[in-house]
Amino acid sequence: MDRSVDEVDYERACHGDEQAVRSLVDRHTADLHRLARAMGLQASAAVDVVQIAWMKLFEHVRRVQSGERSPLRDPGSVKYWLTAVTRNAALDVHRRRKRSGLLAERATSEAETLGHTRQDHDVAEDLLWADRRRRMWQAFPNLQESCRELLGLLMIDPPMEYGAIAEILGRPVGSIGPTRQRCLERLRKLMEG
Amino acid sequence: MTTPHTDPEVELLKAAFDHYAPVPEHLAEMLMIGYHITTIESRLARLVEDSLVDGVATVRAGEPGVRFLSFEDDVMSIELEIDDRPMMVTGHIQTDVSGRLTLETPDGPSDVEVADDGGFSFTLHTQAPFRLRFDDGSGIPIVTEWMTP
Repeated sequence: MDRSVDEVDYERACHGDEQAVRSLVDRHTADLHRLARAMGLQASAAVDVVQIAWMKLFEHVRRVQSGERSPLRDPGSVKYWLTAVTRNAALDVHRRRKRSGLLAERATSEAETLGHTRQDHDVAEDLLWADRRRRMWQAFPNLQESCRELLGLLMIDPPMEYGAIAEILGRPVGSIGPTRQRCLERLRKLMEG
Repeated sequence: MTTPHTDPEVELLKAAFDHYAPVPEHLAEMLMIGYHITTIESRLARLVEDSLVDGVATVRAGEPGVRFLSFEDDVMSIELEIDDRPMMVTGHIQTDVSGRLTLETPDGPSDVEVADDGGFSFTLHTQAPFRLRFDDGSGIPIVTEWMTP
C-alpha cells in the first residue's frame, strides 16, 4: 500500500501536482528526521540533512516536470531513495565533524534530554510506559553507532524490507535480523544498567 | 523479502523519539518553500572534488574545519573552501562568460559579488543547506549540489 501511495504521489508530483509533493513531505519527513536523530545528529543538523534529501528529490521532480526521465528506477521507491540520501548526508556530517576535530554528536545531550522532558504530559500517561520510554531515550545514545543507525532504519513506518535496509547499509540481508536482536538486547541492558 | 514485524520495543523507541525529539513544527513549510525555489531551468554542475570524501591535498584542505569542493560544467568551474569557524565560504569561479552568481538557501536567494579575478566570499548566517547558481543569461543557469556549512 505504501509503495502504491508513494508511486501515485510521485507521479502526480512529476506532473506538477503540488499537493502530491506536500503529501510525500508529510508522509516521510518524520521518518527521515528520526533516522537523522538516531544517527546522532543534533536538532539543527538533523533538519539540515532532511532538507538536503528533499531538495535533491525536488530537483528530480522538477527535472521530470521539464521532460527529463525520472532518475528513480521505480517511482514507488521514493521512501527508499530518501532514506538512503538522508543516511548518506548524515554520514557526511559525521565525517566533517570528525575531520574538524570535534566530537561526533550524540543522539541526545543531557541538557537536551532534560529540555524536552515534559513531565506534566507524562503524568497523564501510563507512568510505567512513560518511564520505560524515558529510560530508552536516555540509553539510546550509548548504543554503538551501527546499532543506532540500524534502529533508526527500523523505526521507519511502515517498516522497510530487510533487503532494502541491507542495501542501504551495504550489509548482507541475513545479518539484519540477528543484528537487530543484538542491538535491542543491548538497549535493554543499557536501560537496566 | 523479509519485512521486520512490528516490534513493541521499536514502537516504544519511536515514541521516545517523537516525544523527546519531535519534528520541528515548521519543517514541512520550510520544505515546501524549498520546493518552490527549485527551478527546472537549470543544470547541475559536476562535483569533481570533495576533500571530505577524497581527502584532496590542497593548500588549506588539510586544515581542520576546512572543506574544499570543486564543481565543473562546460562553461565554468567553481572552487569552494568552507570554513566552519565561522561559517565562511571563499571561492573562485573560472569562466569565459559573464554572469551572475547567486547564493541559494531554503530561505531564498541572494546575490554574490564576484571580483574581477573571479574571487568571492560570503558568510552563512545559519547552518541551513545552501548551493550556488550561475546564470550566464543563456536561459539555463548552472547550479551546484546542495551543501551544508
